Amino acid sequence: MNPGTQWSAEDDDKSLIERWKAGDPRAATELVRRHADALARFATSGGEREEIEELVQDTFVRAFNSIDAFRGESSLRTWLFTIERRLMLDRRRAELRERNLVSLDGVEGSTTYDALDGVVAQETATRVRQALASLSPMQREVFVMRVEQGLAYAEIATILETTEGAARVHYHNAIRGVKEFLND
Amino acid sequence: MTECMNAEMRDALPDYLNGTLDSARTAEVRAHVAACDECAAELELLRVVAASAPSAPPMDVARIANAIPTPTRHGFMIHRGGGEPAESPPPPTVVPIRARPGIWSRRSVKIAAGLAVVTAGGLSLLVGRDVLRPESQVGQAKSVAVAAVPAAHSVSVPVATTKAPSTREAQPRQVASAAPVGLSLTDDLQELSDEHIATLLNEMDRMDGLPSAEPDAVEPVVGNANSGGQNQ
Repeated sequence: MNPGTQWSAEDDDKSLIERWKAGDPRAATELVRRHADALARFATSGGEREEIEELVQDTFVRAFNSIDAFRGESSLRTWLFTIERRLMLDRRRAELRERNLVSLDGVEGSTTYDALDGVVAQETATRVRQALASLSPMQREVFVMRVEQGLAYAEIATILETTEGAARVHYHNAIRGVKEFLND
Repeated sequence: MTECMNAEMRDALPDYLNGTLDSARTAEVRAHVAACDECAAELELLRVVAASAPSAPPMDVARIANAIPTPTRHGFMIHRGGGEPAESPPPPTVVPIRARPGIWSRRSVKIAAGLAVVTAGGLSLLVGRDVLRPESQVGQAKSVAVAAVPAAHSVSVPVATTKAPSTREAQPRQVASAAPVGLSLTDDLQELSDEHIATLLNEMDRMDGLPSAEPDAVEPVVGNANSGGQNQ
């Protein structure tokens, strides 16, 4: 492709990966352009508040360094979400270690939702975030991915390394939990 | 808050909210929501949840892309270095893809080769000694070798009276059974003079230079020399 040529929608992610492997760095730039914002939203939905761009960048660097591990069984975006989620868990474990917390139990349940009160001004929204914080970690992750990211159950199952049926059950339990919290 | 019993429609509400359904399915869900108070309330709740999601900061695509390594023809992943990022990013992971240092493998090969030479040399010496040792165990093998030479070289005396083996598999056993009486060359090896024994050993040494052959591939000489080596 000549310099300055725009990437078309027909250039799917796989063909861009092949172009990048062939030595075309602009293919990587196009992939970043396509997925960076979604990764940022995914991070914020998962409770990340600081250094979002660094997290997204680390996700891309790690993904491209192990691109051969991507077999195309899921979409590239789902695979990137999987990598980013692991990095988020690593971050939280590191934060816990810095706080000299010995036990790592409930690491995945440690989010910053409880700190959202000052960030979200609107009362209803605050109540909703509190309702989400009351869910189990798995319920919350499934619910957020389904509602805020619009992911299908199959994609959620891939990211969370669970089954599609289990993801569906977690979603319905989550929405029931949110309703109960808000009705109290 | 009650729940709609139509699980399929409830499952589709997040997709409807995010606009990921096709037009037909979208119309179907819209019609259902219009007629179902429970699903309408649940959809509103999902809207609030989605609206309450914290906004993500804008991403600097160029800066992120700049940190991504690029493969080269030689399989190395290097930093592109196409312009300085706005802020100093964490150093990119550089993963050189190349063969591991071969010093250990080369050294191990040399050691293995040396051991093989020493072992082979030692074994050949042992075999050479066995050839010269006139003991019955050695004779078992040598009797077969003697049978392999042409009749002119064979100084064998027709003493082996056992019947010829019916199968090739039985041949080594037949030869071995004749061995205890001594090389199957004569009734009693003790009757040979030193000169005869020396001559036999010299013949054996010369046979060592012949191409090796499996004993099975040779018809054993068990009968009269005049029979041309044919059994029975």
